[in-house]
Formats: sequence, structure tokens, C-alpha cells
Amino acid sequence: MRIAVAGGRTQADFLIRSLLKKKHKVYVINEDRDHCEYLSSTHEIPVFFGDPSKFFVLRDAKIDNFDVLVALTHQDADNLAICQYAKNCFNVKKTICTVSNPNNAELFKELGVNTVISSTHKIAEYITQAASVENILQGISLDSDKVILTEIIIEENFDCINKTLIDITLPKNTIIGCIIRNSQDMIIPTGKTKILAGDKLLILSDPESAPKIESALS
Amino acid sequence: MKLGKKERVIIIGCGRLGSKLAAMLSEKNYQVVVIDKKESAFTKLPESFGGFYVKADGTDLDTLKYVDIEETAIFIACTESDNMNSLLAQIASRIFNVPNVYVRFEDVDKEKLIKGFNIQGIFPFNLTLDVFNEIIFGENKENEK
Repeated sequence: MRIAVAGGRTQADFLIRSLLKKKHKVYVINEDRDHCEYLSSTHEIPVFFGDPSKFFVLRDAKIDNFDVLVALTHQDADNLAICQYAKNCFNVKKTICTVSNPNNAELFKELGVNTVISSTHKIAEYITQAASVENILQGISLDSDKVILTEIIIEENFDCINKTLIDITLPKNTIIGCIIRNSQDMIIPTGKTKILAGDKLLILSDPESAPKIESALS
Repeated sequence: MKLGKKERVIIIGCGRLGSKLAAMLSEKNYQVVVIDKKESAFTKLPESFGGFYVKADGTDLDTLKYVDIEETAIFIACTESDNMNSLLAQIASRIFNVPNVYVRFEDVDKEKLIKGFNIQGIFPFNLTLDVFNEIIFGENKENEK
């Protein structure tokens, strides 16, 4: 895929590295001259120096018909402008940006950005979960909060131990997708699979059911 | 926020243009709300200014609802950042359906960001060119038409 990375410092560097590993064609547009020099000396990729929220900079970088554009500048409004130019003027198929104000995530999606990532929102989510459930539950939301992946370690005193999956009543829209046993064996369970103490369960569910999973098992 | 029955105007950015517009529209009997992130910006408003000023982030949807954007007739985005103005104008027009949305852009290419929406761009650059044209060549756009 052809991917343009606009703005950003450490994030951009890290992203470029991982995209190149996956054999994507990466183009960089950055308004910090020193950072441009660093990036072009570190990676074998085209680097354009300029403010990516300016029309002529994007035009000169020739991002027409790119598969993806990622906007990583610190200003949310700049990221929106970059993504809208990419989509409306250069026919870029998919636009992704980060926002520092978590409230802008929904707003920017409504204004046409395909994927909006709010690191503040994600971090707050992780901290709340880490603080409230003492390592038993870890929820990760997938596909914009529609699906929750919950991780549960089965303790000695849980009710579900030695039961087969058929005999366990889970909340609705919930499925045990995978069991990790002895920290190494990966089991895709069937109805006849027994749950043992120490198992780690990876469970997919909708957001309403996620908080009920722990009590259904313990 | 109770604002009375006059036609309402929201202005974001109390810079030189924003403060002058606020004073002018308030004098013409509009109910004006001017919003700026910096408290000090409001010192530019004249003493006679009869509207409201709110220190807040203009892109915050709750702030905009608080100043009754849904009942507002005119919305003007004139902060110092073009990209911020584009975002503000799109919030007013596309999210809250404000009937008259105006936005000031330094960069004429920003027009491409609001194309197709019910937003009127105002470009000081083009206005300056027009004036120069008139002074130097005596050509007036109005007369040409």
C-alpha cells in the first residue's frame, strides 16, 4: 500500500519503521526541517519538507490516489484540514488522524475522517480498567467500541472450574474465543472444553455484557 | 443561556476583526456572543459593547450549545488559525445547521475545504488584490459585471 505520514515526531518515526517492515511504500510530509533530515537519513523513503495542512505542499508531494494518509500533528484542526484535503482534493482512499482532545474523535468522524484515534481516551480507558479490576479483567475495545475483548484469569475459587462450556451460562452476545493454558497452549474451545484453574480466557462480547462476564464465571 | 429575542450572532475569535465585528453587529441591534480562549482578548471590545463574551474553546460542542448555537442566525469564524476556522465553520454549518456561516481565511486554498457546504469564505488576500486592481487600473469588479 502507498501510505503518506503527515506531521508528528516520535510517533511518526515509530509508525514509519513498522510500516516499512510490512513492506508498505511510505511517503513523509513534515514541517520540521531537522526532523525531515533525521527521517531521510534514517529511512530510505521520500521526505517532503512543508506544512502538510497547506494545499500546495500536498499537491507537490503527489499523494494522489494514495491508499492511506495518516495525520499526526499536534493541532487537531490541522489534522482535520490535512485529512479533508487528502480525501476531497487528492482522492486518498482512507484517512486516519490522532486528536489530543478526546471530544474531537466522534466529531472528526462525522466530518469525514475514516479513523480518529484519541490517545488520551485510550490511556484513560486503560487506567480506569487497571485501577478498578485488579488484574483480573482487562478490556480492550475493538472496532470503535462495538466489540470488547476481555481477558480473565481463572482463580482457584471460581465457580466455573472443571465445568464444560455448555454448562456455563454467559451473558448474551458473549463468546469465549480462546483459552491460554499453562501460559503457552492455545486452545480454541468447543462446548465440551473444560475450564481449569489458572486458565486465561479471551472473551469477545458487546460493551453491555463485558462488565457481567466476571460474575458469570466466579 | 437566555439571550432575548433579537437575532443572534456567534463570533469565535476576539481579535482585531472579531472585536470590531462584535461591536458593529451589537450596534446594529443583533444579540452578539463573542468567544475567545484568552480573557485578555476581550479588552479589545469597546465599552459600549452590549453583547456577551465567553472565555472558552470555540470548538467545544458543549460551549456552543450553551450559547444556543442551535438558535443562532449568524456564525462567524475569525480566529488566527485558518484550519481552526475551517473546523469551526464546519461544526456550525454541518453539525448545527446554522443558516449563515462566514469564515475568514488567509490562505485562499482553504476554500477547497468548505466547498459544497453552506459556508461563505472571506479572503482578505482577494480583497486586497481587488483594491490594488482598482487603484492601479481603475477597474472595479462591480462595474465589470
